[in-house]
Amino acid sequence: MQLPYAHLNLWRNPFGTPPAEDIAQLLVLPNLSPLIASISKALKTLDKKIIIQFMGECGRGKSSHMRALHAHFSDAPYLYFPEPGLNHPDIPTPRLPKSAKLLFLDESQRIPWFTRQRLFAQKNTSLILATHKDHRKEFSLKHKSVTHIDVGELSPQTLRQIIEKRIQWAALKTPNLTITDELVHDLITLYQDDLRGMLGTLYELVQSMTHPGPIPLPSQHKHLLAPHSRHLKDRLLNP
Amino acid sequence: MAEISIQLDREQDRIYRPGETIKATVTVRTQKDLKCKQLYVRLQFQAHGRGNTTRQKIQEVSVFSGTLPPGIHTYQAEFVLPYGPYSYSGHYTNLTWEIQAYIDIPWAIDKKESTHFFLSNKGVLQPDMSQVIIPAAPDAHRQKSGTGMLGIAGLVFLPLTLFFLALTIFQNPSMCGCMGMSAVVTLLLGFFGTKRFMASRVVTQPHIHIDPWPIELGKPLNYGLSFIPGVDLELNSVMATLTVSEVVVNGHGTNKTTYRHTIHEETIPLTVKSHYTKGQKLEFKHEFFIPEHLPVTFQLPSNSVVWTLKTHIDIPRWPDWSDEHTLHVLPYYMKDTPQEQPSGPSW
Repeated sequence: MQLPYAHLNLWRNPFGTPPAEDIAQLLVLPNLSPLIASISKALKTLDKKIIIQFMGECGRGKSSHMRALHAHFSDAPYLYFPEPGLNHPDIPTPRLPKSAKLLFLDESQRIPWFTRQRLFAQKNTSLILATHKDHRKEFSLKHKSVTHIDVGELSPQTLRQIIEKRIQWAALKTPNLTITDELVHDLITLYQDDLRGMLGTLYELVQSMTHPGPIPLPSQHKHLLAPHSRHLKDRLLNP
Repeated sequence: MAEISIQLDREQDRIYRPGETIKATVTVRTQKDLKCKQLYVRLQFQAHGRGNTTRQKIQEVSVFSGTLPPGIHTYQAEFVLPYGPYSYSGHYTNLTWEIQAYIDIPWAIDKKESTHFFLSNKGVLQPDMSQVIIPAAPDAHRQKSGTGMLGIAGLVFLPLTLFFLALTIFQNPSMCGCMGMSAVVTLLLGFFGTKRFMASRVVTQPHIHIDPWPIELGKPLNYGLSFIPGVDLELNSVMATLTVSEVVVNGHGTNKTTYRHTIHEETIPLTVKSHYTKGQKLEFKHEFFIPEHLPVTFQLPSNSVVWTLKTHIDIPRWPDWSDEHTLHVLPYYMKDTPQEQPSGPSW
């Protein structure tokens, strides 16, 4: 009897879904210190409040940025808004606290318009938002400035770091997997900045590995590609 | 900084069976005083893979609390292993057992270390079955009436939709497309909702028998189907399909995706195309053999291995009749003394 990934010196597939408590150690994020300093300052002073908006498509790391920041301000409420109109027994629509110095609002574009306007108009609350929709106009009407951060750009170096961290996290001893430049290039060509799509494909590629060595190239195993990426569909249709 | 290592009493193969005791020796090496709220040793498992990770703590003992002076400290912990879930390695899900040592350090990042072992389902002694949690047989009849109600609701709304469609054609022809679509949706709802109801007019008094219950790996499973045709009919086929699949869920809410991977599938034709007369009781039987190498049932949040038995009656020019039952499969139990098998459920 052998652990399922023992031949690769891993105890699990590194590209599966990690438990919530391990996510923080797998993040590869830009330096968040200036943001942390600004938030801390805003919390200390009564008059200066801060608004930070992380914007990007699904799976690009908005929530990861938010969670990394939230780790430094864990007393502040972190509210995730599920899609309205659908019943999510596992995720209830959160109740907005009556007063809070700092609020983390994930999927803020889903907050009903009137509630959002009321929330954005509050003078004593600093807001950290993850959104698909740009809220800058809404804030400018209220004469508030927003720190806007576009989440999505994924450089080959960052991608390599993400893959390496994942492998290290799943390692038993020294992992027998190698990451080639071709793999990183291939993933970026196929998925552009869709990290979730890349991880899905990497999961299948590792599953297919029977021997140690470099992770196979996704372009040579098209049947294993995670199919939900818009960029991937475009590329497969127009090679 | 502290270093933790864990040694198990069976370092060679790390294979254990339910009811056995696992002994872990936890060694903590510190170079300076280490304040720890608690030093826990835990018996736990993780179901991991493409779906959300499920981590479940089975037992936890606190072996130390206070300040650890510099040096090497050794602690022992013992746990009696439960009757499942068993270690499993699959495509979308895996189940890994572990002993974890966890130091809860105040005002600092906690320190933890885990070591894995196997909880094998081979050579397991027959447990006291009253201690094994076996789900009750599913109530198939309730599902049937539910779908029937949906169909009846569809049929009630259909004339209303058609009336409004006619009204729209005369009053506002530009809205015809929308109303037409709505009529089609209602019609489809009505069809799928009443499909089972219509099929049950032809397949009356269906009865499925599965024996034994629960089912054990490496043993036969007796399957029986009986029904009375409500009309003279010709059946294209009657099939029974036994399927074992991994079902995992990734994400939450609207980001939720379900992945399925079939591990084993066996379809048995119970009859060939033939003619049957109304009121004549039909009986079909088959003995499935449950291969011993297949995984046993496990159902955890977001990760499961599911056994199903599907019955499908293909009726020409009429909605087909089908029914699916989830089976509960246990390992092959070795018995000290022969025991009588409990009788299986009937639907």
